[in-house]
Amino acid sequence: MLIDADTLRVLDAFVLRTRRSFFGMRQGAHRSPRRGHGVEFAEYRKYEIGDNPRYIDWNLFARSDKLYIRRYLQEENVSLFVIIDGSRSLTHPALKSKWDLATYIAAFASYIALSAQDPVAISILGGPHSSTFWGAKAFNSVKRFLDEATDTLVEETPRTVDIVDESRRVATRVQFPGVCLFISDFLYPLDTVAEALGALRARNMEVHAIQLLGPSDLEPRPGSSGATLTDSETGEALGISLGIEDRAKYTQLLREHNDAVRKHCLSHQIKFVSTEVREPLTVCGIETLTTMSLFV
Amino acid sequence: MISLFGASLGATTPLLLLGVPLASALLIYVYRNLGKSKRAVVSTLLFLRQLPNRPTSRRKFVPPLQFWIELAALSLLSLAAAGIFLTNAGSSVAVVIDQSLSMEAPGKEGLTRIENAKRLAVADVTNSLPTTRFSVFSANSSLIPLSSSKVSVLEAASIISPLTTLHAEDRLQNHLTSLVNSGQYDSVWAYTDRVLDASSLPSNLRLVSVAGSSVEKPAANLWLRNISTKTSDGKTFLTVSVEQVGAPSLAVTLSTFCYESAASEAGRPRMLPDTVVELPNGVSITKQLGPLDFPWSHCRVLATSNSMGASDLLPGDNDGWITSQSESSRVELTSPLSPEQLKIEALLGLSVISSLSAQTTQLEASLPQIVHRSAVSNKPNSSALMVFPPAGPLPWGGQVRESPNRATEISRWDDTHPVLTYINPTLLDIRATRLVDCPPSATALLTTTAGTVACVGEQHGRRYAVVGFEIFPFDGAKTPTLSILTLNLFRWLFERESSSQSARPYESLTLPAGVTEASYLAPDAGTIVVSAQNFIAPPRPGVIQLVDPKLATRLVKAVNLFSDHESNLAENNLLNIPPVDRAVKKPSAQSLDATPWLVICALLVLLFDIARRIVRVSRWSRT
Repeated sequence: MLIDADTLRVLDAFVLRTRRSFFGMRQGAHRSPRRGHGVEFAEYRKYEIGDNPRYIDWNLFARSDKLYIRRYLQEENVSLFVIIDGSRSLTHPALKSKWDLATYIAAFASYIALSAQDPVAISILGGPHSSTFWGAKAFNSVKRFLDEATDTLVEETPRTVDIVDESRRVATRVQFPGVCLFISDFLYPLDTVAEALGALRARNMEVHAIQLLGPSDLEPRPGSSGATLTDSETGEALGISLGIEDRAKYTQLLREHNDAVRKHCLSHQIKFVSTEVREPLTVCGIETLTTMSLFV
Repeated sequence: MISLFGASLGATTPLLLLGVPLASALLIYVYRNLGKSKRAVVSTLLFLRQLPNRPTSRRKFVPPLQFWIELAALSLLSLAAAGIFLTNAGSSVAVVIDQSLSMEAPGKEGLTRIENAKRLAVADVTNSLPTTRFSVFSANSSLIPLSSSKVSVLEAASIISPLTTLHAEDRLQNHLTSLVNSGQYDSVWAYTDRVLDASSLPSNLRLVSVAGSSVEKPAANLWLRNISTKTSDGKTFLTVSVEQVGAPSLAVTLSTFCYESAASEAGRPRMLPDTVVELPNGVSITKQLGPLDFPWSHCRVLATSNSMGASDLLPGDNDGWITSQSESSRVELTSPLSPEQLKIEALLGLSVISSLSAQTTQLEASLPQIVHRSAVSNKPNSSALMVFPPAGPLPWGGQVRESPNRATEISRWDDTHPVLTYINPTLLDIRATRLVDCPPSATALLTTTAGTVACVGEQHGRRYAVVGFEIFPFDGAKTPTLSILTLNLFRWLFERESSSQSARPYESLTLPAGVTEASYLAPDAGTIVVSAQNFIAPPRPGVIQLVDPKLATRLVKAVNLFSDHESNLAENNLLNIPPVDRAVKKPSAQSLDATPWLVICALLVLLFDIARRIVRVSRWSRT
C-alpha cells in the first residue's frame, strides 16, 4: 500500500470526533464520562474521607462552612475499531477494487486516530485480527498488517464468511468500547446485516457503516449477450441474460436493499455511508471519510 | 442467374453463394452462444436470482453492430468467391452448326454427329442468359446465316432443332476466323466434328467437338473420290476413284446407271457392267468404266460392298453423278496480251473471251474474270484473278504498290490455303513484283521480305485473288512451281464455274447472274430453295438444273461431294484459329466482374471495424 505525502498532509487536517464519550484507556483528547482532574469544571461533591484535601474548594467552605471538593471533566483517548468484511465479495481478485478501497479507508482512519494518540485495532471478518496500535509511529505497522492481510485473503477460491459470528467474535475482544468503523458491501440479507451490526452495538460501540459498491454491483452483468455468472462467495453459477427491463429491475432491487440497510442504521443510530468504488482510490477514500461525520 | 433492370447477374461458381446463408447461420449460432462461454464473477447472486429467469438459450437475439460488420464482411467475401458478375443485356453469341457431310456419320450415344451437335447447341442456348441474343449460322462451304437478325434463346433453339446435314464440305477454318475476327459477337460457339488445335485458342471462341473416335472395326467407310470422263480412241469412258478406310481389305462393286436424257430420269436407265474392286485399307484405286457408246445425259455411279452392308459409317458419299452436257466454263480475259501469248488456252476446261484492254477497264460481264496487267475501276460481279496489276487501288479495298528495288524472296506463306497445295513457295523464281496491301476481306498468301505479293479472299460469295507477279505465259513443266500455282489459282477461283467434266464438285453454289430457279432432275425431282443471296445449298447428290427465265436457258449440273476432307472420318481434322487481338467486344455486351469490387467492399468494412475499435480504445484511455 502506497500513500503519498500529499494524501497524508490532507489527512493531517482531519480529527476524530465521536458523538458519544467513552471511557478511555489513557488520557487523551476526547471527553470522557469519567470525572477527574481535567481543565473543565464538572461539579461539586461532598468531601469524603480519603479525598485529596487539595481538591477542597476553600472559598465555598468559607461561605458555607461545609467541605466540598471540585470535580473536573476527564479527557481520555478513544479506541478506534476498524472492521473490514473479509468475505470473497471484497477479496476476490475480480472484485479487488472494493478491497483496495476498504484498506485505504482503514489506513486513513487509522492514521487520523493514531495521530491523535487514539488506539486503533483492525479486525478482518474471516481473517486476521490485529493487536492494538498505539501512537503515530504505529501507522507503518497498520500498513504492514493490511498488506499481509491482502496477500493472505485475496484469492479466487470461493469462501463463505459468517459475518454475524465474526462480528460477535470481534465484539468479545473489545475491552474499551469506542468507535467502530464497519466496512463492507452489505450485500447480505437485511437480517444478517442487522445482526452483525447489532453485535457491535451491543458492545456499546459507536458504529459507523461504510458500504462499498463496485461497478459490477451497480451495473449488472451481463447484457443481452448473456453470460455465466459465479457467486464469489458460494461459487454458485448462473447462466443469465439481462435486457433493459431486467437491468432496471436489478437496480431497483439494489436500491431497495440499500434503503432498507440505511433505514435500519438510522433507526439504530448507526451512521451509514455508501460509496461507489472509482479510481483513484486514495481520492475516493478521502471523499468517503469527508462524508462521514466521524472525521472533521 | 437473375435478370435485373435489363442486366443479368450471374456467378461463375454458384455453389459458393451458399456461403452467404451459411455465414449468417454460423454467425447467429456463434453470437447466440457467445454469452455461454462468457464467465464473470459477481459479489452475490442475491438480487440476480430474484429477477425473472432468463436463461441464455431462450433469450431474444439482438445482434450487436459487430455482428452486422462480420456478417457483411463474410457475405461480401462469399459473393466474391462465387465470382459474381454482371452482364449487360444483349450480349451476342454466334452459334455455328457444322452441316457438312461428315456430320452425318454416327457419333456418340447412337446419334449422328449433327444430332449430337444440335442437342448440345440447344442445351447451351437454353442454359444461357435469357437476355443473350443469338445469331445462328450454318457452316458448309459457305457460312449461311439462318436467322435474319439476332434472335432470342427460344427462337435460336427453334432454328437449330430442324437442321440436317447438307451435301457440302465445311470451310470452318475460314468461317470461324472471320467470325472471331469480326468483333460483332461476344462469343462464337461452334458445334462441329472437327477438333481445335490446342495451340490456337481465341478467347471468344468456344468449339464443341462432337467427333467420335477413329474408325473402329468392323465399321468402315467407303467413298467415291472422283468421277470424270475420259475420251480415248473416240470412245468415252468413266474414270472412277474409290477409297475405303477401316477394313483391312474390302471388295467393292461399282454400279453405273446412265440415263439418255435429262428428262428421262424416270425412265429405265442403262447399266454398265458392275466392276468389282478389291480395296486395301486407305488406298485409293481408280477404275475405268465403260465405254459409254450410247447417247447419255447423265450417269450415276454407286459404290457398294456386300461384306460391309449397312456398316458404312458415311453412306452419303458412295453416290456420284456426272453429266455429259458440255459446260465448258467461260472466263473473260482482260489483258494487253492475247490468250495465245499467255498460253492460257492450254489450261483445260476454260473457254477464254479475250479483250485487249487499256490500262483501266470497266468490267460489266458476270463471267469470271482474269485481269492481266490491267486495272479495273469497278468491283467484278464474279470471281476474279488479277495478275501483276499496275500500282493503284484495288476494287475490293487495299492497293497495289511498286516494289522497292531490292531482292524479293518469299519469306512467309499460308501453307494451309488450297492455292498453295503441292507448292514450296521458296522455289518460286520471282523477278519483277509489286506489293499488295491486301483488302480487308482477303488474307495474305505469299509474303516477301519487302511485303505481301499475293492475296486471296472472298467477298459476297465471290472469290478473288491478286497476284503481284507474273504467272503467264503458262509453260507447264518449265517452271513447275509457278505452273502449279497458276493451276491451283484457277481451280480455287473458277472451280464453281468449271465444267462437270472436270468433276470437281460444287456442293454449294452462287448462281450465275440471271439464274433464279434451281431444281433437282435426279435422282428425284424437287425444287431447291434459292437464298436471298442468290445461293443454293443442295442437300444431296444428284443432277440439278439452273434456269434463267429471261434468256430461257437451262444449265444442267451434277452435284457431288468428292472430298477426302469430309469422307475420311479417320482423319483428325484440326482447326487452327489464330488468337485475335483486334476483336473488341461491343460496350453494350461487356460483362462486369464484381469480384474485385466485393473484395474492396469487404476490406472497407473490416477497416471500418478496425477504426471503430481504435476510436473506442482511445475514448477509454482519455477517460
